[in-house]
Amino acid sequence: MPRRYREIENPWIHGGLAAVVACLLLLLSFHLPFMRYVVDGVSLTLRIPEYPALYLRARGTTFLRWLQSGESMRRRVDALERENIRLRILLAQHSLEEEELTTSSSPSLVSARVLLRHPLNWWEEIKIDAGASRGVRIGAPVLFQGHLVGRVRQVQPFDAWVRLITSRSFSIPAAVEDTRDLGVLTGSGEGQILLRYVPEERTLPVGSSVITSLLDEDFPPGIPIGVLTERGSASFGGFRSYTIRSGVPLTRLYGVQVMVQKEEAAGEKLATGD
Amino acid sequence: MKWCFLLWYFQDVLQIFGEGYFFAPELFLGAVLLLMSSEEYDHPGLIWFSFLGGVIWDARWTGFIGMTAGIYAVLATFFSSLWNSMPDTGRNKLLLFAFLGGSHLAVGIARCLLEMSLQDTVWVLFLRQQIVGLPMMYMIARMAFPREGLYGAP
Repeated sequence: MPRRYREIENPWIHGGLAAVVACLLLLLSFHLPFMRYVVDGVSLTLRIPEYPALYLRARGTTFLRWLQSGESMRRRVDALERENIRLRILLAQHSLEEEELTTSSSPSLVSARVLLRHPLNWWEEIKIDAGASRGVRIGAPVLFQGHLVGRVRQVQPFDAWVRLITSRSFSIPAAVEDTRDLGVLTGSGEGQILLRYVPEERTLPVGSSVITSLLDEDFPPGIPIGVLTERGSASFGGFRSYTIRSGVPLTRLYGVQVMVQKEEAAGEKLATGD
Repeated sequence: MKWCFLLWYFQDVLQIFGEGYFFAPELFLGAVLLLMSSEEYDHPGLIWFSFLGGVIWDARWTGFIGMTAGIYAVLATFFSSLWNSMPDTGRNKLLLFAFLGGSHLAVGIARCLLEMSLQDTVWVLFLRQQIVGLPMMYMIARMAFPREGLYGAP
């Protein structure tokens, strides 16, 4: 056998080359956005052979929960949370005479688990295991324990990417519950939530609750976000920022709830047979 | 080779069922090393095969494309080198099981470090993976040497 051919058979050459390719792929996965589509594509393709296991796991999980003694209590808490959100929505609707929002279009919640949370985009986005097949739509609010934690930014059939409220790219109008002052809610990209563009002459009481306002078409008004904790020292153009502490621990997002329209949630129930 | 596909799928299914409770045992890597020990397949091909399996695993579960693939390929290379350098008498069940167990531990630790940011009870998942996976690694070693004792004697 020629010497060159024997060298190609050397496993160290192949192993070293594979390690280099692996490092390159790892670097690319950090920096190229299309790698996300690769991840989504593989997840979607594997969905077919994985379907029996996913179905059995879903059924098994439901059965185990049913067996657990705390099941009825959890259901009650969930129902109360949903009722609380609905009441807040109805209250805001009533006070602002928004009668065109009827009860039939009131939102419902779909539970989802967090699949991915990339350390390099820790405060930017998460991937959840609920997608278009369960009624999730782009722009839908995402809640954790009844508090707003993000909005859906990209939807696949069986999963979705959620932009967190701590992201720099997140931006919605929000209101201070006590004073009805409005501002723009956004993230710092480093774990902070900010209420921007509050007029400098307005001094908002620290500890006031911040909720979603009627000004965003995707978000129903009255969803709790957090409380004001600190007034920004600097002012720009006559406006000031306030720091908001989220009502829930954003570092411990294992499962979230996506707000979908009632008809879509009903469609999901029909599809899953629940 | 079909064992590799089957065990990759089985590992994937275990990951689906065990998500949040334990990490899936590294059955695919075990299958690749088993094939390497049989000497019926060329080792470079199996190194790249393990790399490919790792890439798909990363795309499906970790999001760090290349991490598992690199670890699999490096471990397969080490095993190939070790196995080739051993005399026939040294290639026994004990050596294979020791390498399978060590590889299983190494990949488990890597997963542990990766998932540390996502779950606070990650060491429990790691321990459960080792408890579930090590007997499976022994079964794989037994498949390679069904008629031999631990040190090679029948």
